[in-house]
Amino acid sequence: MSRKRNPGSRKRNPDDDLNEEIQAHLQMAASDREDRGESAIDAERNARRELGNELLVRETTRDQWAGAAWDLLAQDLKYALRRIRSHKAVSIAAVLALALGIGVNTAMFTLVQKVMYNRLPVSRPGELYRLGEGFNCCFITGYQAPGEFGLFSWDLYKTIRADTPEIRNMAAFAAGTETMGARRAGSSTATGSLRVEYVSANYFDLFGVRPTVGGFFNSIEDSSGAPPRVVLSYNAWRNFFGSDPAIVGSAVLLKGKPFTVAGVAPASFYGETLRADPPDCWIPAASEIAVERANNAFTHKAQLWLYVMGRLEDPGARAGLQTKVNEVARRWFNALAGDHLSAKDRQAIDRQFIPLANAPGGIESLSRTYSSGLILLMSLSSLVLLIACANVANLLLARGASLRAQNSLKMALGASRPRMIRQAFADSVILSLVGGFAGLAVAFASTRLIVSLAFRGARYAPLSTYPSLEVLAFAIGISVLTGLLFGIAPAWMDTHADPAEALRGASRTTPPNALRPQRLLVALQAGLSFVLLTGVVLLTESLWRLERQDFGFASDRRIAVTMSPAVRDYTPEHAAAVYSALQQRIARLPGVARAALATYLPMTGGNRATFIWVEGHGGAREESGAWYDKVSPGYFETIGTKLVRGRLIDASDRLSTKVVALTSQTFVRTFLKDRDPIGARFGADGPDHAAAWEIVGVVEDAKYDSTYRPAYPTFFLPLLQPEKNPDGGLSGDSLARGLVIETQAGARGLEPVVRAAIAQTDPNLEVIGFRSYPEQMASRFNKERLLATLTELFGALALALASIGLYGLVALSAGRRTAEIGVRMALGATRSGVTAMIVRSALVQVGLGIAIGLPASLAGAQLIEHQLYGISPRNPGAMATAAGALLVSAIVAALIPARRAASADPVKALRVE
Amino acid sequence: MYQNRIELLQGTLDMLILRTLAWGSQHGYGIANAIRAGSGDVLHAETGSLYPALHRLEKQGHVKAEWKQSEKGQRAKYYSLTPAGRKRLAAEHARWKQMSAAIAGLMEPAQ
Repeated sequence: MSRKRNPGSRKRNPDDDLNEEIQAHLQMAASDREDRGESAIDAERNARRELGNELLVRETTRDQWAGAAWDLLAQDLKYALRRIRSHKAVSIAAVLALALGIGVNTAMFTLVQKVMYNRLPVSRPGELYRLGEGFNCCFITGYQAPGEFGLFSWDLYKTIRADTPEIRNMAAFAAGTETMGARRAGSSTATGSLRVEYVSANYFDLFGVRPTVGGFFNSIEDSSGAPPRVVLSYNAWRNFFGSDPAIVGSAVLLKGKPFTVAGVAPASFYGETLRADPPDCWIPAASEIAVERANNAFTHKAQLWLYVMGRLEDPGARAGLQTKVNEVARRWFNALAGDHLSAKDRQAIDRQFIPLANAPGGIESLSRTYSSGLILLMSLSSLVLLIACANVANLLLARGASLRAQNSLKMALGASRPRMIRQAFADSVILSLVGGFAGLAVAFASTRLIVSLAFRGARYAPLSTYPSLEVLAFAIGISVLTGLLFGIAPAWMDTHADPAEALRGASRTTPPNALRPQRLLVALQAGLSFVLLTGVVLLTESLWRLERQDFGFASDRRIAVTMSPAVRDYTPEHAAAVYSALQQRIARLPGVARAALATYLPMTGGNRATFIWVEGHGGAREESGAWYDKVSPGYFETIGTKLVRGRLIDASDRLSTKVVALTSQTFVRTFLKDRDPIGARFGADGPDHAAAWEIVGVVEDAKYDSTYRPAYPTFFLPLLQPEKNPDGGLSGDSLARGLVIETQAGARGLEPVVRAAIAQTDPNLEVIGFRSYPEQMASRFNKERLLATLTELFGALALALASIGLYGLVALSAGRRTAEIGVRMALGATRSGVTAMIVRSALVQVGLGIAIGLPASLAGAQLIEHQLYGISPRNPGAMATAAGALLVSAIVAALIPARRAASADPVKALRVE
Repeated sequence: MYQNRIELLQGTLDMLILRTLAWGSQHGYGIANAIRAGSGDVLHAETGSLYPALHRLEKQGHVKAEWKQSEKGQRAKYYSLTPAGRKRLAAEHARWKQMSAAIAGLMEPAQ
């Protein structure tokens, strides 16, 4: 815009400037006329006549200014704001509906962005590449299934790293973290339990992060001789060591082994995997030898337990390097099999494929767990937004009805249609932007809620809930889009006002189909709500069935304690003595009904499986593996699993007696078919040991790991018949990590006494977790609960919005029919008859909506089939429930305005003009 | 006399304004007078077209404006050509000559 002004004159309004220019013109014309002999009055009058319509001159001139379009827009916005202010109730309702709709969508977008498009907070995450795929965990040997090659042994990692130097800083880290008891050296009290991750020495170099204090590892620490050091996470440093910078150089005992603190990682760094409870500290993989000794994985060439990532600056080199990595790995596998390389091995090695793929988000197990759920929630939240749009469009239509006369008049006076459309859209976009800003607050609050639901039971979740720039852009973008979407109907209606109508203005001439757009919008809301509500019913029912299924064990009044020995130098005899003593001591505590020990407890994570050989099956290995657990006497009574046949493991099964086994029903069905299980024998150490264990009893099936799948075939061995390592020490397989306590009704505050009892029995045992079983179980359903809770929330929102929409429609149409109602009542219609008539016509809309929603909800239910447990997606009951909920709330919403209309005085009603 | 007035096409009015300003800076009223007098009272630049045209030319950068005292002491907005305006005038003039020659050739074919 270039508006030249007289230099020196004060800044002037261009309108005044133009005005003065025209006035000067008039004066000069008049003075010329006077010079030609006209009288002063004539001169002025003629000059004005010659000029023509001064207003029009000014208007058309102003149109030439570049800023004119903006001025018009500003004017439109001013009018829009005036309309918004003058219809306060409608505006507040619209902003509320939009804030909720935009808010939940923005929250979902925040989560999708943070979880599915996560980028590690490290230097240049775009250059990070992962070798391998899938989420195999945690220690395996042998070959990995196609599409799941993820785990490497230390030896395989070292070989690939040496042969492909093009992949810079190729680092390895343990697939799973381990919780270890920790204390500061010289302190007698435990600091707490820390989540530990084994990593290669160049782990921090890969990410290019800077330490908060101290430093990271040196390459020497990849060899077994180096004195072990530890890098603390910022959070652990703050929570366990009071942010003490002097911690660097001092020693921390992990599992009783001293580690010197090398430094503290930056606050934003949570490792390579976005997850709840990220590692509290990192220790060199080589130190695993010192911690695990004979059971270590580090020196075991074939033990696969590490994930591998590296850095690649040139993405073009990826394909070539991937080929190279796989060649190296193939050679390594062939060398590992050595002389025993069979045709089967050869086939399997050919199928081992290691993809080299860009991984700016690191190991994306969280994304795998949640992506389908997030996409589902995102689609459900967009339904809520659509309902909100329909709702607001309806509100504006209702408002438009009251502005109808005004609009007709405007059209009659020649207002241009584009200008009026623009004004209508200005209204809706302003409303939706205000709604969008309010929605950001809703988004922030609901993101926090969702994260706390998703990570229930976690000490710390490294997910920031603050909206990012992208999220802000999304919120604004979606607001504008929403505004345009719900503005279409009102804009069309406003500008199709019949000018002649303005002159009539009688309420009795309302055409019968005047409310058709409103009716359709309400039906649309009902239909969308029906789809959402069907989802609510299905997911809620699924969670209910999942949580209340028969797990084969009892969780009421049970406590799960997990523990770990700091030093593992037990002999089998000593271990048996410690476990007996511990069980007796805990069982005698006040408030405790029973106590038992096991190598692991159901639903606490960590399980063991093995191949087995059954005696009499000709020395052939069974096709599928079996899960196993070692349990103390009284274990099944305490955990509440029933005996089906034979006897339980009891105190008579000791080191000196023959080794017995209990099996689950599924185990019998899978491996023994129709044979009598009692007395049958099997083993897990090859065909020569097929008679190692004798089955003495069968217990009912219990789910130990997956809540969705049926119970695995499982067998149980006596904990008090522990196995030896070749060196005579206790096998890691026989360490009791779980203590289950059945409390007496009403017992509280057991944690300190239980901890004290454990410490008194064996100070070497460190308590890692202490949780009530119901709580432990609940944390297994975080994802399902998140889905169900949010869907319920969305459903409630949808129902509320649809009800408000229906209420508004009924009120509006009842208002228009006041005269008709008066006539009916004057002719003898009863109040209840009139009420029923109005409610009935409202239910027609809802019925229409359900008819629209039915195919959509059938299709939608099919899409969520994989999220459901124990309920079919084509569930007529669920649809009936959803339809019922919708109809009930529709009746309530329609009844209020209907009763009001019916209670009108017929005489007054007839007088309505 | 009224019948002799000819509605000026927009492009033609722009050219005439620029032509008028080629003599020196002038205010809107002066331009209107110059066009009427120069055309023997045939062409009238209506104020409703003149001022929009002036403001449009100013926005396009073909003329620039300045507030000055007129010879009679009246404060008025004076317009003058910018270099871009001069160029535009030359181009319009050339085009007009071509066009009028073409039209003349059609209307009065050489005998």
